[in-house]
Amino acid sequence: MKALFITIAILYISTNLSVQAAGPDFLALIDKSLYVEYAGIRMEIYKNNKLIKYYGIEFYRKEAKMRMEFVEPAVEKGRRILNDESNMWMYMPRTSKVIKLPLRQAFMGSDASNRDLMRIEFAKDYDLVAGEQPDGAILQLELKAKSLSVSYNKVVVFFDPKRNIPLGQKMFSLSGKLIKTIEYIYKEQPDNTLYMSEMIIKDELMNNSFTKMYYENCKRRQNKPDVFFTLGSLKQ
Amino acid sequence: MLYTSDSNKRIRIEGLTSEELPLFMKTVKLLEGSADWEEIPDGIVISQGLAGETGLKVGDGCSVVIQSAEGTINMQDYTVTGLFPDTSQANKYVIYSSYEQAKELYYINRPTHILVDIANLDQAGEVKKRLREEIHHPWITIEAYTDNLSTAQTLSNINKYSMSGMVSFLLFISFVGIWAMQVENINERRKEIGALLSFGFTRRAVKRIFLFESAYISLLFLLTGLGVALPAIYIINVSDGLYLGSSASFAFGSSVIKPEAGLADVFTAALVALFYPLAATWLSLMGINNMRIVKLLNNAY
Repeated sequence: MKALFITIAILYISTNLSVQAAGPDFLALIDKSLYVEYAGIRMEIYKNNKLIKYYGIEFYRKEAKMRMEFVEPAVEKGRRILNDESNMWMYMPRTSKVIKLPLRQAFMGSDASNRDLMRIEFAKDYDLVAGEQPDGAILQLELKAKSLSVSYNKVVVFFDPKRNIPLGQKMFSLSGKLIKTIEYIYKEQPDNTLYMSEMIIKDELMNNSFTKMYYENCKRRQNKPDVFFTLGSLKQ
Repeated sequence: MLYTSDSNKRIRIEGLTSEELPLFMKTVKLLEGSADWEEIPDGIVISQGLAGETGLKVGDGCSVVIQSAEGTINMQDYTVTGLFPDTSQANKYVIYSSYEQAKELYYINRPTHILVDIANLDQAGEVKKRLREEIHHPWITIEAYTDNLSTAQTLSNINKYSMSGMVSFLLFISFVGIWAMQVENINERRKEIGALLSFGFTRRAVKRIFLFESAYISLLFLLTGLGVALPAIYIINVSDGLYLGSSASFAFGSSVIKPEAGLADVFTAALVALFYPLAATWLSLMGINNMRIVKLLNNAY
């Protein structure tokens, strides 16, 4: 009886740990699949299913540093946002002023927060605590935040193990309530690699409120110098 | 942020301890519902203005999402248990819950209140400085009452001086009006004045007639005014003030006004009501000094 109990316990623990012990580093795979150093983005903000705002953005990234330059609409052209790992800054061309942005703030009135878009590092911020494959094809990975400085205490990522890409994620508050969902859509490039072509961010607290981001001309590498991602270069 | 199914509003949430709740209930008379959070632990009290904007009623559910000082997002569902009258734009977007609920929502173990006794209120700035050094977090703000004192003082002064300016202007206009009206009165009664002077009345005696008439009318209207204003002030105070809407706070400092009428106010009103028109009348009577009896009798100018 005792031996049977121990056997069952070992089988249970090994099943739950199999995702971490024997499987790939899913968090690194997620970060890698979402990592692009350049993309042209069109962001559309919908409230009550109606398009209320749109932005055309050029996105640059080098490791954890990111920079966005607004190209559309004309009234926003020239606005720049920089994440230099420690802070987020916005440059406003009309006043030539640079202001510091809180990470918690909604990004340009969209359903994504500044942190959602400008600090996406699963491996750094989360631990993989559980994984299951309820329908056999897609993996559901449960991630727990490493510290209270991370916005979403729990994230469930829907991962395609065949293509090694995340298909979507659900983000939960500290109390376990669903706050946001993100869906990723991919397109195969001529070099047979998969790039994210669309990201749909849905606010689960508001009916019919979502943000769509269309990515094109994605590049894994770009040749902007390090100084491009500094505060000093933002005004130039 | 407070979320309903189809709207969201930026709000501030304040937790009330069991000691603070009775004081809150005494200060803020709920329009509807209650703040009995022992029965409904997830209850909140919101302002009437916020309820109007979000469509929430007593008994409705809503969600509150916050981002804590550390950065994590938390969300709780609440039930609206009461509505309070918002007296300014500042408290329109404040919601009150129990202290325990607020602390759980913010997920914070730091102290939330530090009380400085009234004898040492001038030390508040020093306490704030030391606290800031101890906590040292980029997202935590610490406010002492002195931070808002100068703003409140400035707003109060603006209110006081602008009201004084308006009253002074109105007094000046009314003085000119009374003077003009009395001049017209004198012109219309030229023959009467001429007749009195020809009968042997002195100019001083004629002036006294007009002054007496002015005083009589002033007293009549003073008593009428007091008869209307004093009961109205009493009724307003018995009803815990008159609610003028949240925008009224910009003009009056509060959306609820509670006028007062002490003896000094009544005395001032009497002084102004009696002697002010007398002064205007006296000024208008200066013209009688040079009037010639024959011209007055012929109604000639």
